[in-house]
Amino acid sequence: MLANNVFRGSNPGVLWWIAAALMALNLLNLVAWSAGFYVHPAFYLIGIAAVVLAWRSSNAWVLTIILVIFVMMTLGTSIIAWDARSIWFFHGKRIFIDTNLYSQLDKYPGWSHADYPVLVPALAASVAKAFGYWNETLPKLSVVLVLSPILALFAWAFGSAAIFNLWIAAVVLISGAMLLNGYMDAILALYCAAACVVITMRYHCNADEFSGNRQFHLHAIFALLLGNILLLKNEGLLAALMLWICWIPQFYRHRFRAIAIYLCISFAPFIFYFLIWKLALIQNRITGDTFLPGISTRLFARVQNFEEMRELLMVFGKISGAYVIALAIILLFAIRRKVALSILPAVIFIGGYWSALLAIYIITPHPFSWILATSADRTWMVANLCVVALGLYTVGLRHGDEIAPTNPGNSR
Amino acid sequence: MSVSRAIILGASYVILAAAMYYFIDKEPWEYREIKIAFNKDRPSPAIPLVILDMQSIAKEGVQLSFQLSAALQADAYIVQRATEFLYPFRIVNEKAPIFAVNADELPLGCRLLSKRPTVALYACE
Repeated sequence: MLANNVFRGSNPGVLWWIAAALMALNLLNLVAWSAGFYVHPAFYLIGIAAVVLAWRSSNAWVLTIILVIFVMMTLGTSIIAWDARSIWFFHGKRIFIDTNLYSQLDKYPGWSHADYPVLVPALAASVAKAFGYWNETLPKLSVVLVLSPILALFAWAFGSAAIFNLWIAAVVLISGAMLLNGYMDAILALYCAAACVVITMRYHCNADEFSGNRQFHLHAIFALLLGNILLLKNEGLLAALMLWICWIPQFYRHRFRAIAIYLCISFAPFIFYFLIWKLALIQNRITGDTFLPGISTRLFARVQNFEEMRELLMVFGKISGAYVIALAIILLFAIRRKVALSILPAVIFIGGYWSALLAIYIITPHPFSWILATSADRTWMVANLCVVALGLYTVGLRHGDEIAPTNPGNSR
Repeated sequence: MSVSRAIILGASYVILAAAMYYFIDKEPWEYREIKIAFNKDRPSPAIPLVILDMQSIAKEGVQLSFQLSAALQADAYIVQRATEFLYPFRIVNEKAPIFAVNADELPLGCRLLSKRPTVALYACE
């Protein structure tokens, strides 16, 4: 059986702890920079070294090799991609040089999207700080640093070596150049996909069987995922809100005290996001460009424009059509396995995210063809990778697992 | 481990290896670049020579802000690279020395401050 239950008793395992610690470090780094300090990347190396120590898990050694390859590929090329240079790593350079997390809020230059969050730019600044200089390559290691916890989380969550291998293969093939070139979309996609798996894991577990420490571990990792998703890029806010909505219905099985505690844990990332980033944007009167005035005018104009709507649906079909069909097949498979209710929240998230992006494209103030040509493949990749992750996870789901977990996972 | 599980596991490793080979082969990285990755002034194909010359000029003076001539401003690529690569030197639109490739495009009376093969810096009243 392809295992899904990765808990051994109440202990989630080394890879869970590594993933949680590294994701917490990502957020701690932001707090540190806001106070003029930084988290030294050596702490990440300790985490990655811990992956090596978890070598007895087959997923851990695959993960180690993958990370080594990613580091080599990152060092083997400089920062070239347009958005990577003019937005993400330019913000990182400004944080490093000015020793100020909020340096970009002076809106210099106007085209650099001062409203974009700075999780990865702050990590890039930390890498530069560790080396003592900013150059054209080393800050890009921040991409590997931010990928390492999420890959460790997948190594834990999938349990089965076969599924983890197939997942890594799918990630590198689907995200391709986007994975290491300094764009945030593939990173956001991986974090959202992990959140989908954690949501499914939670809904697949019987409330009575799955209680105490194990329950806390899932809530904690979900909160850390949301915190990172919120601060990766602006679409993260949309994704995090939708994931949070999908997370909430599980509470109906809990008592009031548990609901209060777990609601606080799952909502804490939004408060953190507001305090560390959104508040500064409000204070500096910085807004994004998607929700500029005239939304209803643009909406009605676009909806009535047959050519533009046709273009939008054609692009969507080309990028995500196969994944829509795959999602339907996964749902049918889950119904046959009697685990449809377990995956339903994640399916709702994926469908909702596709729809929300369609709506955002309809109201965009930018030229329609240009914005679709330059961003659609990246933005819809988030939902596409979620479909693949959900599909691979669903393969291992069995009706009855949730009552009597039998397979410890982390296959050797 | 059953035979079918062993076959699935083996196949997954083959697929992973094939995917990684494709990924490594397709992406634009080069092994020899790793050796210079740790150089502070690592050269990059993303930076045009004219921007490197601008940086060289900017570093020799005390000015922190510069303008780009109309011809340079017309090239979005140059504007973008100059803005992010030259930072902490800033590209502004007024009251600063002007980078220009050709002196002919500047108003009369501009004074040459510094010159490199691809670009020069002028002070204009």
